[in-house]
Amino acid sequence: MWHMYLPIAGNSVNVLLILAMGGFVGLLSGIFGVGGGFLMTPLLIMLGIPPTVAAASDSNQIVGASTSGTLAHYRLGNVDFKMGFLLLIGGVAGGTAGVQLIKILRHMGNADFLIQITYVLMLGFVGSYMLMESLQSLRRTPEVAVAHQKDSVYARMINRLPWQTHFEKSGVSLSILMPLVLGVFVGILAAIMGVGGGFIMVPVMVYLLRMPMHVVVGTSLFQILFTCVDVTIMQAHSNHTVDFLLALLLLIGSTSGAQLGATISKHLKGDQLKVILASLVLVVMVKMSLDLLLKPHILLAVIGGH
Amino acid sequence: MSKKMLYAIFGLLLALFPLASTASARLPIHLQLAPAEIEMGLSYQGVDLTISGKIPSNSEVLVRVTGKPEHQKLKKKGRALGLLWMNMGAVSIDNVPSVYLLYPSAALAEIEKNQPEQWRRLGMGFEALRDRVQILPADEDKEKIFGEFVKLKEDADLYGIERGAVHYQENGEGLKSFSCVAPLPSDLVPGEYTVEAMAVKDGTIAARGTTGITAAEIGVTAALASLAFNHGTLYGVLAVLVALMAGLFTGVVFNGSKGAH
Repeated sequence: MWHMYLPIAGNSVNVLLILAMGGFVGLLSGIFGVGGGFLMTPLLIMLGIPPTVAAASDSNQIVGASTSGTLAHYRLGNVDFKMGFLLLIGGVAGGTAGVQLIKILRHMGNADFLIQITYVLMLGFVGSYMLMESLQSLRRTPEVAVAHQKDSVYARMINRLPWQTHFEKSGVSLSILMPLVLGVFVGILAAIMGVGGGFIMVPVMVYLLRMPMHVVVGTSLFQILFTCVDVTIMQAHSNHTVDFLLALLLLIGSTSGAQLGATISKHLKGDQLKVILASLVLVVMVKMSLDLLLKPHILLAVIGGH
Repeated sequence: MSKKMLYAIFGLLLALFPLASTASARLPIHLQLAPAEIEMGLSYQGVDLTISGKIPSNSEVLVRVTGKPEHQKLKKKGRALGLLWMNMGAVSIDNVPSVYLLYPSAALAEIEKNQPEQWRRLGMGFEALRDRVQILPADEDKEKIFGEFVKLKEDADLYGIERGAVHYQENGEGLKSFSCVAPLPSDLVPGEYTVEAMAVKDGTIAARGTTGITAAEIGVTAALASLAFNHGTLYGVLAVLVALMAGLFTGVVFNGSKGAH
C-alpha cells in the first residue's frame, strides 16, 4: 500500500514520501526562487531512482512548481518580465555554448574532476559571500547601506555601459548588455555542472544586477520555468529519462509548497532570505565535499550516475 | 518361442534394469512457480516468487534465479590528487547475468561455508561467476573489480546468496518436496528470467530442473513506457503541458482560497 511503480525509473517508490519531498522542495523554491534540483536529485537517487531519470523528472516537476511560484509572485508584484526575458536569452545562448564546451572537456578527459571541483567551489564561494554580506547588511543601518552602494567602483563602471534602460519592477537602470552577458555566464556554468543554475542566478541578480531580493525570487522562478520546459522536452526526446509518474507525484507536493513558500517569503526580509539560502547552499557544499573526501562504500558506479 | 530366446529376452531386461533406475534418478525436476508471471503494474513493488518441486530424498536442493547475460559499463571511483574520491575511468564487464540469486538448502550452505573446494566444483556462487566473466581493460584487478560489482548488485538486491530460505517436506516414495521464496526486487528490469533447481548428491549435481518466468509491464505503466520510448517528443510535450496545467491550477486554487478568507 502507498507504493507506486514508476515505469521509466524502473523502481517502486513510497507515494507519501515523494509527495512530502515535493512539498518541501517546492516550499524552498517558492521562498528562495531556486529550482531545488541541487537538493531533489540527490534525494531521489537515495531512494533508488537512476541519476539520469532523477535529474530529468525533477526538471519536469520544476515546470509545475515554478509555474505555481511565478503566478504567486506575479500577484505579489515580484516578477520583472523584461529582466527575466533578457536573462533567458543570455541563458539559452550560454547553455548551448556550455553543452558544446562540456563535450570538448569530456573528449580531453578528466571532465568529471573539473565539473565536481567547479561545483563545490561555486557553492562555497556563492554561499560564503552571500552569508557574510547578508549578515553584515542585517547589522548595518539603511543609510550606511545606501552610501555604500553609491560609492562602489562597480556601480560607476556599469553606469558607463551603453544601451542603458530602466527596469521598472526591479527599480534599477542598467545596460541591457548586463543581463544578457550574465545570462550567458550562468547558462555556461549551469550546463557544465548539469544543474538549473538557480542558486547561481539568484546571487547574480542580487549582487551584480542590484535587484531587490523579492523581485529576484519571482523573476528567477519565471526564468527557471522556461529552462525546465526546454530541458524536459530535450531529455524526453533524446534520452527517454523523464518519468512522468514520478514528476506528477513530485509536482502535486511542490506546486502547493511553492504557493506556501511565496507567502512565507513575503513575511521575511530580503537579508533574512539571503542568510537562509546561503546556509542551505553551504550545507550542500559541505555534503558534496564530504562525498569527495570520504572513501565511498562501493568503488564502482553505473554509467550515467553522479 | 524357443526356450533359448526367452532366456535372451529375460537377460536383456535384467541388463537394462540398472540403466532404467539411473535414468529415473536423472529425471528433470519439475518446477512450479507462483506467480507464474511477474506483472509490473502501478502497484508492483517487487514480488515474492515461490519456487517448489520434488527431489530425491537423499539429495539436497540448490535454487538459482538468473537474468540474461549482459554487457555492463561502469565508472571506477579512484583518488584524484591523492585526496579526492571521484570517477576515474571506466571498466566493462562482459557476460555477466543481470540477476543472480542463489538459495542453497541448509546442508549446502554448510558446504559453501566449510568445504570451499567441494562448493567450487559445483560451479555455483560469485567466485564461479567471476571465472566466467570478462573484464576490460584486461590489466584491471579482476578480483577487486568483480568484488565491487557484486557489492553494487547486492545493494540493489539483484545479486545475493540467501541461506536458509529452502524448506523441505518428506513426500514418501523416496522423494521430498522443497519450496523456497525468492524476493525479487522492485528495480527488476522487465524481461525473461531463468529459474533452476539442482538436486546435489555426493558433491555433484544429480538432477536439474529449469523453467522461465517473464516480468512485463502492464496497463498504465506499459502504455507510459511505450509512449516514452516510441514517441519521446510527444511524451515530453505532454509531460510539460500537464506540469504547466498543474502549476496554474494550484495557483488559481490558492488564490481562490485566499480570496475566501
